Amino acid sequence: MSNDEYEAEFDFSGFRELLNDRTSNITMVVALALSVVVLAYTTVDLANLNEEVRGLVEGDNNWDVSFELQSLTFQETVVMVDGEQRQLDFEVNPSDVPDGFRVGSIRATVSYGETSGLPADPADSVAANVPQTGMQAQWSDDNNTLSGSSNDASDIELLLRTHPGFTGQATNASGLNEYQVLQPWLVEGFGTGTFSVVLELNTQSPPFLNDSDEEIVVNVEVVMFKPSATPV
Amino acid sequence: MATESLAPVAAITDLILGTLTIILANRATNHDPHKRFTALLFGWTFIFIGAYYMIISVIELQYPDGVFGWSLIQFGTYAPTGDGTFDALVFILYGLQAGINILTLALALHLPFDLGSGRGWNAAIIGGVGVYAIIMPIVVIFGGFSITVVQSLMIFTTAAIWTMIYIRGMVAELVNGDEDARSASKGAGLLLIAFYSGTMIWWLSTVMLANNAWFSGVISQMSESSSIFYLLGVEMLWIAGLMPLVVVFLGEGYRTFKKGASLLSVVIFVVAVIGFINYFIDIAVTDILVSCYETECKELPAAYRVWETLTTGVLSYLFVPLLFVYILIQYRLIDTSSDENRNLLRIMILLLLLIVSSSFIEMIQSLIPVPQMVTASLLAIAVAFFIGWEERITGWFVEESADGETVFGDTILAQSFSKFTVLMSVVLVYIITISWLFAAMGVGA
Repeated sequence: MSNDEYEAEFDFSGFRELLNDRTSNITMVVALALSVVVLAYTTVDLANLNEEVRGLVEGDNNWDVSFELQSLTFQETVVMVDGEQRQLDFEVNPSDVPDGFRVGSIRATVSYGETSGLPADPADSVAANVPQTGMQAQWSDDNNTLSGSSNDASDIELLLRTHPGFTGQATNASGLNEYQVLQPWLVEGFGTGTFSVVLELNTQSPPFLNDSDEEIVVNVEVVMFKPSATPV
Repeated sequence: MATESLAPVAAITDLILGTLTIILANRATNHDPHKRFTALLFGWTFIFIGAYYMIISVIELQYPDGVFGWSLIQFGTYAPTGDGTFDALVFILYGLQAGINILTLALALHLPFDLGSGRGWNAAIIGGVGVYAIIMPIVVIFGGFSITVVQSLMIFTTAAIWTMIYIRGMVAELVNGDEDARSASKGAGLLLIAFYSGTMIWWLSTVMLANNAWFSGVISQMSESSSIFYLLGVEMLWIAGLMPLVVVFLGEGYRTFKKGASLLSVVIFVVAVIGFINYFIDIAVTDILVSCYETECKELPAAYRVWETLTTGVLSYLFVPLLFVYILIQYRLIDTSSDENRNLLRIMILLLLLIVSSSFIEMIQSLIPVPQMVTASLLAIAVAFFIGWEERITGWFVEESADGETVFGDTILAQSFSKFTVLMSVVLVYIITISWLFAAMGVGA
């Protein structure tokens, strides 16, 4: 390198030397041209994806969630004697739940009448409660009715909500897509297992007569739902 | 299956190598000034990359439950958390990233060809590096992190320069019969792999748009819609890996057919094969990549993490420092003639090999339940091998070749070396200071 070059402020002979070969330049231009082509189509694709994704993320994400309902029923009739306490177990097997359905709640109706046939025999007193079992359910839900009693032969209605948030009514939700919206309603495991009802009978007899037993009918309805979502 | 992070290993390795390289470059007053300056650029690149990995290690250690991905820094998708320390660490990463980008461009203008010369040119390079490393972090922190993708243009330019040098060297060697030109193509090819292997291994995913599928998942997590310029910047980063990979792959394929395999050809073929497999892995996990907006966010399978560690991790964290040292020594950027320097060089090579091999063994142990006694024995064998063959290994690194003769350039004033060292030290302190300051002020939150 000469002294003149040392003195130069800027010397781009290196660049010139790099670019002074025709074959290399053509090869590089081809590489750059192909890069531009790839850059163009990948950018267009990403822009389309961006539009699609942002549409989902920023769009109106309100949905109506409605439920198709089905139910499974059990009935058991027992004759109990005065002072007796008896537990009735109802087994809800996962195989009893149709595909796509979940168990939303379980209702139990305890019915009885005065069957002694004795004159002026008042209705007996029946108490019923639903003890906590190993079943996955909303045992602490405020809307549950887990105990009740009757002394006038009226029905005792009991309710256990099994799936979180299920009331049987359509509801609103927000989410990017149907999958996300339905996800809370598709959790498996709730409401299957053993559902128990404990009954206690106290008979009421007319003076000088003896009414010592009663027939009690327990109807259990397992309410199952299949959720679907439609954008609002 | 949990895999050990290799970031701390890379941090220690790069910081040690950077410090030794800067010492060697400043010490070698009788060495070619152009090579000394290039070595200095290399040394500071090591320091910045080492500091970058050190911050990553600190984040991994302090915030093990946090989600911290590569895209946060590279594509500017970070959203400040309000945690001052975490934000400050991420701001530092943005600053270091800017420093690495400008140092890499400066390196491309000096190695393996000195593309410019003259007093004004050298002053412009030093000044340009300093000004860029001072302004860019501020621009990124205050201008919104996504603005960082404008640096893709610089990254692509750097890749284009080395690609052009590679093509020029290959044409001169294979078409014009100039055997010495191999030094240029080999140097450019190795530098491309050292700096771009991270994006090169996604070459087929870039062409087949699988990278876009992955990035759509990132887009869904962003708070605002992205402009077309931003998306262009994202794609340009992938192209900066794709273009050199294809050129070097084809070039080395042809050269291997004509002249047989070389270190560069073997490495580029391995990188290309990893990229080929990565595409099919992308296809296999597409549902997970787009799950955040199509269904709900899902975790990538453990096997994916293992593969990522064994490919991207090993390549970026363990192999790249080895490649850097090979280039540094093969091109005689540091003076290896004096006994004093040669001893330092031996320490450098042995340290590097031992750190890399012990880390690799530890990593294998974290993936496969090999008893510690077995891995300890393997490490002992490696140590014995390195000590016994130290002379030969060092010799292989410093073996006489024409590569060292091909790197030359203009004279650089002696005081420029110390000025550059002081400048880069100030830049490093500056990046750390402003990051802490602005994070504490809640900038960007």
